[in-house]
Amino acid sequence: MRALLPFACATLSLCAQAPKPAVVFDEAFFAGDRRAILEGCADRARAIKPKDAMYLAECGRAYLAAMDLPRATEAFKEAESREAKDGQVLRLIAQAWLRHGYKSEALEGYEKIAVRDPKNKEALAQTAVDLAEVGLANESERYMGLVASLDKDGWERFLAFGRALLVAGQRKKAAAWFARAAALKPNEEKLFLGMARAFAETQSLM
Amino acid sequence: MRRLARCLLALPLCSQALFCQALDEASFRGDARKLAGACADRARLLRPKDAKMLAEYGRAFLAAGEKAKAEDCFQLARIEKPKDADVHRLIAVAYLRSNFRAEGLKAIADMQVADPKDKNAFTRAAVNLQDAGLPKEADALMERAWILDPSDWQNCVAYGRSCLRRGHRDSAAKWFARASQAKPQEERMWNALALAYADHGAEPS
Repeated sequence: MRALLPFACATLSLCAQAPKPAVVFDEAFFAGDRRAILEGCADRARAIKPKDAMYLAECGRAYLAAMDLPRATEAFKEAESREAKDGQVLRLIAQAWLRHGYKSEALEGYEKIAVRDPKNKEALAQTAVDLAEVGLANESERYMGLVASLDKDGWERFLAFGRALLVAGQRKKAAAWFARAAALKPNEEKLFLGMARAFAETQSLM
Repeated sequence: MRRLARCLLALPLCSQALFCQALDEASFRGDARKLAGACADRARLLRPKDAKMLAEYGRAFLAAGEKAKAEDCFQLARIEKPKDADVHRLIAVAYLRSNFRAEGLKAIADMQVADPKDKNAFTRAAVNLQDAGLPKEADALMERAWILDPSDWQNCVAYGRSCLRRGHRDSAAKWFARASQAKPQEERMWNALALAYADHGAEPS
């Protein structure tokens, strides 16, 4: 019996060290457990490109969707440490938190954009749209105000923001941004088409 | 006579000016259907000949309940670019979104005749059909797009995503497996697959 003990221990130790069976990404896998798919695909993306901050942030979102909070947090931290002043990376991280219901982490993340990359119109405008879409109208307008002060002629951003407010049922607020865009570009057909589509597509929500 | 001609020429400009005046904040709070139609009218006045834009105006008119105006736009769009698959697809989307299924499917058939090799238009149309609740037709069209280029992982992911958001998990699995086989060393593909599941297939923002 005693002679068997070291053998059993060695076998157990070998088993623990054995690599996980390679995941086969076939049809059955993709029809299977959602968490396994999320982690499997995110791991694979990360293994191919482990140092890109954008990918790290998006892998973090996948881990968060798989409810793997420690790995998500680790990926976000790594992304942030690589590109601490990149508004797009900071926005991806904040958006991931927002989409999975971590409101305070999200708001904290979005605020980092305003502090660290205050002239990034695109990231700030996307922030405003993200927040409008989930019904945080006042917070979103604060960010859109920053965008408007940086880019007074940004009718495309005003249109996108108005649309997000419309989808969220904020008709009065949406009207103000549409009017602002229309005053800026009264002869831009893409603006009027964009507004036509926004009203056509959101009719059922009203 | 000259005066009359001048008046007639000035009419569109007058209507344009009136519309401009009316476009203040209050006007955007009005009836959504009327606003959709009014904005489409205005856009059409500014750019009346672009085929894709015409198809889009038609979509807004259809949503606004102005079917005759919509069909007029669609017809002009077809005349302007008869061989452009995407124009036919846009017409199909307009019909499908307003629940005119037969007309939508007819436009999809026209699309395949107009340009039988436009795999990207076919994929977009397959996504549109899936979103309109026509999975069989969508699958058949996507199969056609895939045969044209089995290495196009982006198209497989886009279609798989639409299957996922409509709750067709088995179908999604088939297309995601095809995407992963097409380009197994492409990190963007793995990322796109992960995000598709993270978002439950919602349209990417």
